[in-house]
Amino acid sequence: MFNAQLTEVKTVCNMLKSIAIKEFAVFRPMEEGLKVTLEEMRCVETSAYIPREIFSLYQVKESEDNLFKINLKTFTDVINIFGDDINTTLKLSFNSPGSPLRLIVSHAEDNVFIECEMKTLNINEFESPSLAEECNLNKIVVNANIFVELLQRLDNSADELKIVFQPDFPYFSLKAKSLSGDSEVALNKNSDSVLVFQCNEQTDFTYAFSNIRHILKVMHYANKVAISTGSTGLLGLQLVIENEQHQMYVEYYVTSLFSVD
Amino acid sequence: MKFRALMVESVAMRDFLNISLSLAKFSKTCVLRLTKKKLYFIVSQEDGGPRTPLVWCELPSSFYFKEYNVSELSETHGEIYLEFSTILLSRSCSVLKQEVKSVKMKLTNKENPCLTLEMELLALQCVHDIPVEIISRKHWSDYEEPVFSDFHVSIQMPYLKSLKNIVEQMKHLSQILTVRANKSGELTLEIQTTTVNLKAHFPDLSVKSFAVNALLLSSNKDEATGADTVSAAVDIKKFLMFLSGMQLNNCTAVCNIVQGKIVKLSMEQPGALLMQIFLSQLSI
Repeated sequence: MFNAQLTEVKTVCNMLKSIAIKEFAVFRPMEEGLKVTLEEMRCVETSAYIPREIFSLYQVKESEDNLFKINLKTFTDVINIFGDDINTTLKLSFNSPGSPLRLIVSHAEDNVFIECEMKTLNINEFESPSLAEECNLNKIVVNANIFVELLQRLDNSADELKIVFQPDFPYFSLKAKSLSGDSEVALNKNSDSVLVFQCNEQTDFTYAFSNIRHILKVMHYANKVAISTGSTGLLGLQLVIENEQHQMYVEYYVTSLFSVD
Repeated sequence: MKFRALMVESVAMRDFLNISLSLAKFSKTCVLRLTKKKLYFIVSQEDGGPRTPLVWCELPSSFYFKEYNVSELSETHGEIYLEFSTILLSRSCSVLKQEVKSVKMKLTNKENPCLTLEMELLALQCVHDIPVEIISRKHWSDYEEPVFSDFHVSIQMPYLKSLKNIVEQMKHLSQILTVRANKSGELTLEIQTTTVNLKAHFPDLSVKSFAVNALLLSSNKDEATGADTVSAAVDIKKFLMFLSGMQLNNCTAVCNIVQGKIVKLSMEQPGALLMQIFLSQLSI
């Protein structure tokens, strides 16, 4: 059902490691590429897209049940088994639901190869609602390093983060609330770092800061990030990771907290 | 009971330092056996069973020492067995990282028996006393070299550095490592857990010896074990310890396996060092 070969193992491995918010991930081979999704308590969902162009070989039979759940930590440990500095080639194959995922990792220089079978778990009730459509109201696209900086400037001990979009000044602001006080940063839509700014109506939603902090790890690899939200308060972050000739994507969705007041 | 030795060559000092550092990684204490021609460092298994060597390190005295003298009270045995802390030894030997003119090692009695190292540096002299326990003759048998004449396979080990990286990663996944070698020169390290089954293949290694007949007789239980593969399952931490403890250069390493019983890893620098580690089969 799925056969692939990859030489840029390190980049992919780093990306997968940085989105590992949970132990298990759902892998879904699709025509356009491989999608890896992790989800926590239906509050946070993150997915990485590895487009097929990155693979040196990519064969997939698209079907409803062409997906499997595996331990992501084990997966990244196995594909990174030769250590960081070495070029490796990875072959993946998955035959049918319930069958193990087979991996072959080979070393570019040494005469060594690793053969591995990982048990896959059954997936019960895996839903894939189109979360992107829910975040259709307001959107800002900025350089990723700016967004990282904004988050880091906020009080990092804070529990809550409020994200405000408004059609007028200050346009886009982040507010952190903690016992020791409040901190706030804002980004003007006319800044050079802002590539797109759309605001249809004012939104302000509060999120658990711990959920947002997850994203910082992978944000370090990213070039651009789109932050969007909709009327339900769902926050969507889309990251573009550029890598030599190819682009990879990471999506991240967080539900808002109920407002207290 | 007398022991005196003098080391003057910097190559010998460097190797001796490395050995002391390795020993400190293997265990807290070790036994030094001194004989007329050779020195042996022996580290015992720490699993509560009968004392058997885990690490056996053999050094010819002529390579390390310019003068070397061992004598026991009764000339019939002519050997000395001492037990001491590997950490103290490696700490004392760390002085050898500097430029040292000579090292005198001797057995002294300063309140209690000590192995004394007198190191002659450029401008000063450094004296270290390592407290030792003399092992009486009735316990000598605990420190005999384990002899296995019936290894089913002896195969060259692959490049140790890359091997170490791989085993380190494997350690995250499992505690038991199955070491397997076949007639055509492939060494396989395998771990099996409920979620993952991983094999690292190292092909094209030279096979020093292979005993097919013994194998056919000994085991038919495991169907995966054909007539041309030998395997044993050992503690992955001990296996890794050997790989990380050995930072010695110019050594050839060999892996020997008795089907389902023991893996012996040995490392040899001809004329200077023979180190062996005995990993026994774990009962799964």
